Amino acid sequence: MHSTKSSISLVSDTLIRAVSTTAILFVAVAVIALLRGVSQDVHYPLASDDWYLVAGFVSVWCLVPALLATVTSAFSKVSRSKSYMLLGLLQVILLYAYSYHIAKQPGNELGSSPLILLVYLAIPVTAIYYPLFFIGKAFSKFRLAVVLIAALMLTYATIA
Amino acid sequence: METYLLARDLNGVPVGRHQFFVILTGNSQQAFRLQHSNQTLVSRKIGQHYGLVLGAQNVKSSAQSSTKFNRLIFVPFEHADFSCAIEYFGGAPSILSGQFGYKKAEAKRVMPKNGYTETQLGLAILSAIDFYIVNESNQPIAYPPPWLGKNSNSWTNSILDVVPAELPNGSKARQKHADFNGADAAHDVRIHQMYFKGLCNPCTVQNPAYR
Repeated sequence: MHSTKSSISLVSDTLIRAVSTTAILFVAVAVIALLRGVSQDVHYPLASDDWYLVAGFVSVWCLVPALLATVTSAFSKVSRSKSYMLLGLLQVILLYAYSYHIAKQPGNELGSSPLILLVYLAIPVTAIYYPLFFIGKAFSKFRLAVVLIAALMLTYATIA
Repeated sequence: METYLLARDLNGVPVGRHQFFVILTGNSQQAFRLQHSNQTLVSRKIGQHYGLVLGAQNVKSSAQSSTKFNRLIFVPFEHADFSCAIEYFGGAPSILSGQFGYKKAEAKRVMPKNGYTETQLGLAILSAIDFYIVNESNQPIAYPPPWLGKNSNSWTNSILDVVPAELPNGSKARQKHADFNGADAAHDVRIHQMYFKGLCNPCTVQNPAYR
């Protein structure tokens, strides 16, 4: 980072992207929960805490390599996409190693855990997250709209 | 008898909750015969009382098994269920207590409907389980990935729907009653009642996509 101005803009840009991309994930998971509700005859799929726990879990999971890639590219000559790919790959390897370790423990219930879905989906989710986080303007009507929708859904979930 | 619905953390995994029943049977050991499945359940010491720990589990198919998929099978006194029940009712810390982010089991007392006793409620749960064991062995139920089918959390709540339990009115309130803190996947879906109410032949296939 070469100047105070660029540092501030980098932090604010990253923060806005983090909030809006997290909101996109929350809305996406809520839509999946609604579709699941329709397919399995569940009347109030968003009244459970399950969907936002999943969305929160996936958001934190995806945010880590995106933030680290932002910091790495700001402080080095490694490009953002290369940093992200490298960190994403490292994260997936660690997840698979951890899952393998769990799977070896007697009596483990990995197969019943939401973690197993992340094991299946880690690579595609990481691939989808990159354009959601980095591509496009940080400030846009679309991102603002998604943040508002996610806030409304979370408010509903909290009240329900 | 006192009936409780408990939810505990999954064994060895930091994400997910599993529901099961505990029926406290009194201050001395008792045996309960399940006639159709030809099993006998003997109550064990849980804290200060004796009781039964009843849950369904994700059981891998063995080499000798005719099915090639994991099944949703009734397992009494499953190791982690039993340990968490003992902890909840004032006994030793559970075997899961050393896990990252461990939260103690939560419980909801299940009361009988007006006109029924707690003993009748407990025996009705045992009867539903008795039928389930036979029906599931005839028409095995595949264990699904979380949220994509009917699992152990669906099993407990499906049983509550067919026994004389006092449950909240309205589908939203009923759904909230089944929902503990944490990600207890599939608490909101139900196994077909025919698995619990009698011997079904044929039984409707459950979770067909995962067979």
